[in-house]
Amino acid sequence: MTGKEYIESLKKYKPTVYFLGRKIESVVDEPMFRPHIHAAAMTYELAHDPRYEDVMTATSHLTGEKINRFTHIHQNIEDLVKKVRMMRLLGQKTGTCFQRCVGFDALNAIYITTYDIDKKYGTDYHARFIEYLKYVQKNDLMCVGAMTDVKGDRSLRPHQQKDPDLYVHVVEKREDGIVVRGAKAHMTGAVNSHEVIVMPTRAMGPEDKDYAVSFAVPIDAEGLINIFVRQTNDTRRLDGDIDCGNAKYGIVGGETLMIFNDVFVPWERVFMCGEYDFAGELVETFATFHRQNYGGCKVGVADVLIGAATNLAEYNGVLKASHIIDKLTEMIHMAETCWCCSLACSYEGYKTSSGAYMPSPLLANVTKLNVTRLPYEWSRLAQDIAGGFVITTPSEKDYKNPETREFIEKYLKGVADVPTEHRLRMFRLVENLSVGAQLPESMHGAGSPAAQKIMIGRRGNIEMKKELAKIIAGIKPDEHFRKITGKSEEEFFKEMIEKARGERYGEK
Amino acid sequence: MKIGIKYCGGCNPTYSREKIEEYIRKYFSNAEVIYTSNPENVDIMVCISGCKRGCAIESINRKDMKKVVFFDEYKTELEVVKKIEEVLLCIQELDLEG
Repeated sequence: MTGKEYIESLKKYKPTVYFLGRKIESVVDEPMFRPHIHAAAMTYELAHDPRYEDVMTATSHLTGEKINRFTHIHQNIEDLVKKVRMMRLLGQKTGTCFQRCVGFDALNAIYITTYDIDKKYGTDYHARFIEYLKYVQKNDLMCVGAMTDVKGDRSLRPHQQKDPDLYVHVVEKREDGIVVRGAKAHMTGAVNSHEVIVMPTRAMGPEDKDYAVSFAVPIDAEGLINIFVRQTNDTRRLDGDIDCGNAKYGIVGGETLMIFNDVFVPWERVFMCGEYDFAGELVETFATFHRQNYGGCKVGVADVLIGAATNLAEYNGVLKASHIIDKLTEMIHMAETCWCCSLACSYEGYKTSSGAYMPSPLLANVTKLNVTRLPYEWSRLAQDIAGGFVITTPSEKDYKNPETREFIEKYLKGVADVPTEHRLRMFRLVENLSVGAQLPESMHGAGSPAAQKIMIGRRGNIEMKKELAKIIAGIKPDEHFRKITGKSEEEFFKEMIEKARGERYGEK
Repeated sequence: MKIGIKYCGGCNPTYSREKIEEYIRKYFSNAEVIYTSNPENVDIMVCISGCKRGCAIESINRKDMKKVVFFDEYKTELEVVKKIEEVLLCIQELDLEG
């Protein structure tokens, strides 16, 4: 599908969506959704451009057909690397979240986990999932990955909650399928997806069996309700194309609160149902794939922000000031640090028993933890470079009002050869990228910092590090020191000290 | 003559890769220029990478290298044409040698 065809394809779906107190009849005609739709459309459009198809497409290991990479199962390290290259490219082209990675990561995580479930229990989830995957690949579908439950009281496990629906769970098992109830939060790109892929949100115990459920339904499945959430400055979209900063592609992904109000799922679309001991594996696998992305997409967006800050420095006439050059260099350094992390976790990836590849979980979590921090710092520098007009620029309406336009043109002019409107647009872009929803998204998207720290702590190989310290401190024998010196540590130091004392101080 | 063009994925290009294509289309205006990943489809293959990582050439088989021209940084129109003509000459000589 091209970008245009993707937008057309959404018209065939009739999802139940609410926003600002009304039911939305047509997703593609809703101006508040349209920028997010354009960002997702970029994932389709670039796959048809010879300048980008090398990273945007792949060959299906199931059919041998050329497919959009967002529907691909990683077959080698190169696939993992191309994934993050694709993320950076799309961040650069949209300056925002293009949403499609969540479903992409869900496909890969479920592919790996269903294989492992079947191996243990003799179930047929993997074969079911492969049929579903073929359907997704053939029709080039966009899937929203639905993991985060609303969770209620965080100190309680799913089955302990006062309200049993605070985690998505099975409320009925039928001969032809299951019925599910609950809600998922922060559903990026949901209203403009074709499919929803649901996964559990945490590791579970035997009492949580009904909550260990994974499945897929179309976005317009009966009983599925999406409440589109607010963003900072969102109604500026109705004012024109300057004040938004990024009117074409929006800001972050366009999220929903997704409610499963007794949704029926046929068995062929159920990929986990009660195997609670695999809920943790599915969550960690998905989290690893998703955290891998953030040094790609956010760095692509940072490329746009660095460009915007540099343009503003130029428009303000300060580009050659040494402190500006230093700040821009700092921004580049931080962005490329995150890029290094994404590349590293991809290159350190490995083959799972399913045959699919996944990134290094430790390094993927390091990537994401850096992205909970460094974007705040590069945004701070962008605001610093840009100046106070980032938050005190007159509105687009006043700029277009003949009574005030002349004053704004005159008094908001920077260097002589740059039109005032360019300066206004660039201030708004920096505002979009560094003041609004982008930063909390860096913090919480793909999991909050504490979640990364848990995985980093678990996989940090502390026991090995303790051993290293004991060897260096001389508490444990050092095999290589013995080979280098030809003696044990005790012998070596005894001889050396005796010799030194004798030579230097005449001691015997 | 059929000229094939293969771009890298363009994740972080250090120059405008499209310029190379523009120069090729301008100078070799009588040639058919297509986008392909397979050198067997064309008389000469131009791989355009956006940086020194050189991803555009990764999928090319060693046996096909003789008909590949590779760019990983900006070149002027003259340099682009010169590089392609040199490879074309080599291909002709190899063909004559059989």
